[in-house]
Amino acid sequence: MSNKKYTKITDHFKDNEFINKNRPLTFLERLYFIEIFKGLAVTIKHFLYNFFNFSKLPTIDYPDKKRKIPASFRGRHRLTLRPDGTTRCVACFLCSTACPADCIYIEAGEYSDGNPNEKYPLRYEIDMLRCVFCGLCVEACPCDAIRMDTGLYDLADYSREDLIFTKEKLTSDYPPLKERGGAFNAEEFEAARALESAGKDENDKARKREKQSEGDIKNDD
Amino acid sequence: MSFYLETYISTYVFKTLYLPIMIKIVLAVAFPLVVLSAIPIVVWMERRGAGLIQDRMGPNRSNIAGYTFFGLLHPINDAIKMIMKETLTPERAKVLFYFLAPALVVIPAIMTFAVIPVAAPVEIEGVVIPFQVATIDTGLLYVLAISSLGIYGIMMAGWASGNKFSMLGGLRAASQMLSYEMVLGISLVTLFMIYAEIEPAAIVESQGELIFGFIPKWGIFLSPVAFFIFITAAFAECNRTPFDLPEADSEIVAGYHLEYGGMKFAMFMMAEYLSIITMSAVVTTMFFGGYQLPFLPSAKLHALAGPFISPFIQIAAFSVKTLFFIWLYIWARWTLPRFRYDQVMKLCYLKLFPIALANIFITAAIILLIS
Repeated sequence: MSNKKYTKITDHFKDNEFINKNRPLTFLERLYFIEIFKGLAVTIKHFLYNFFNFSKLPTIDYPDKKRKIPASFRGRHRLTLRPDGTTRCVACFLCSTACPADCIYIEAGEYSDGNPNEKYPLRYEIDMLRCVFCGLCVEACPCDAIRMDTGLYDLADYSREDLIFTKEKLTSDYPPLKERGGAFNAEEFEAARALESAGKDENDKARKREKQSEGDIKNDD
Repeated sequence: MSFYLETYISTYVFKTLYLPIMIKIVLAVAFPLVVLSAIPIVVWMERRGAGLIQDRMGPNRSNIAGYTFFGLLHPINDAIKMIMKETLTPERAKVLFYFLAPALVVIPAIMTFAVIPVAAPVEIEGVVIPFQVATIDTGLLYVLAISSLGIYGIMMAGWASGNKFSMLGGLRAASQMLSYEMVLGISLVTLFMIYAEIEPAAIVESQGELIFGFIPKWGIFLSPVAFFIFITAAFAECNRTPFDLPEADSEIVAGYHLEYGGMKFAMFMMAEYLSIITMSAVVTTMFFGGYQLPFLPSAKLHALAGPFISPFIQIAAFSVKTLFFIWLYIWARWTLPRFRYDQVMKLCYLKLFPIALANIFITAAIILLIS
């Protein structure tokens, strides 16, 4: 009985043209000769289309050109600062507790100069080799002290030590601004957001173009 | 001094004995150089072509001061990299044969080009300049003989590497190339019968004529069956897709050149592209009228353009035709999937071989009926 149920489901899809049914090859197909020319026609169509529409290729020349990333993109972390230049972080350990990759290391210190915030991180290190960029630390932070809005994602380096980001790196402009194309402070963030909303149209246009090019090469499988 | 030189140059002995030899030497140096320098361009065609066929850009990063020259610098980069690489010899390799094999693959691949005419011979002030390194009576048999010598290099490479994958690759290459060699030869017999010649230059000359007054007397129009059999066998001869079983990555890693690195590996690649160029040149010569422009045989062209310009026109025609067949090799590589090994052998012995034989008999019967 249960088998019948399954056959009914397959019956439903029987007339669906998108299902590639396993059918015996016709004589001409088994001959292979004509099929070769059909295949050659498909590839030359792609070749000619791409040859004459080279700029429409979906490839982005990566290190030279970078894709505009949305403002909500979770990039490399940064530690935000108060107007007086001290870190907003109060070393409450909520981020390192929330971290599923266990990559945040904090050593707490106390202000001795009567600062009302009492605690601050002596050391705040994120092991970028372990970080999974899930953003749970940002959500856990009660002080808005850690953010992932820098838009940096190319964090390659030559040594493991350099990829353990210290407090200095996390509060500073690193890698330098001109190389990174991300946001670091509030103004940059706003600028990036404005760029992104402008870029949205461009992205839409690119997507439309892609769709169009797909439509142009219709017959390929 | 110059007076003596001038008189000597105008002597009969110089014109008929020494000058032809000097011309041949120049040709013998120029031909391999041109063919070798065509390799980077073919490699470039393959990479960029593959990219565009697969909706990619293809290599375009290599540059000199920011100018990439459409990616043409990548083969140069490759060559520099290959030359600078360390020479590694596998522990189990049989050293002499291991080092000899790449040379034995490259040399026959270059040698084959010797009998291909790239333009009709021209006569300037009583001196005949042939655009063919060797005009020998054996003609195309020489091409078949020399190109089959390349198998030795490949077998040697596969065996001497001391690697099982290499061994398998070498075996596959050997059996495949030997089998298709036969089909290659037999499909050409049809054309030998039609033109009653086996010397390439003579065959190309007769391809300048017309059949029924409007079709060029090219091999493809006279014997299309032979053309398709020949081109299939030529693909198998060059170990190219869909017959690249000896280098089937998914099964035997890289086949016979698995253990080779640096310039030795580059020589195998060079040999592959050289044999593509040579086979394309042979196809052009035999089936597509060689250097002949359609409807403009070389005698007419000489009368029109004179002996100085017409060779260049014919070389251009020959190059364009050859480039098309090189492109066909590349085009087919990114179109057709690889055959299974038993399919390759069945295609050869059970399909192409009988068809080629039948083609001979039918053509012979037609020739008999017409004459």
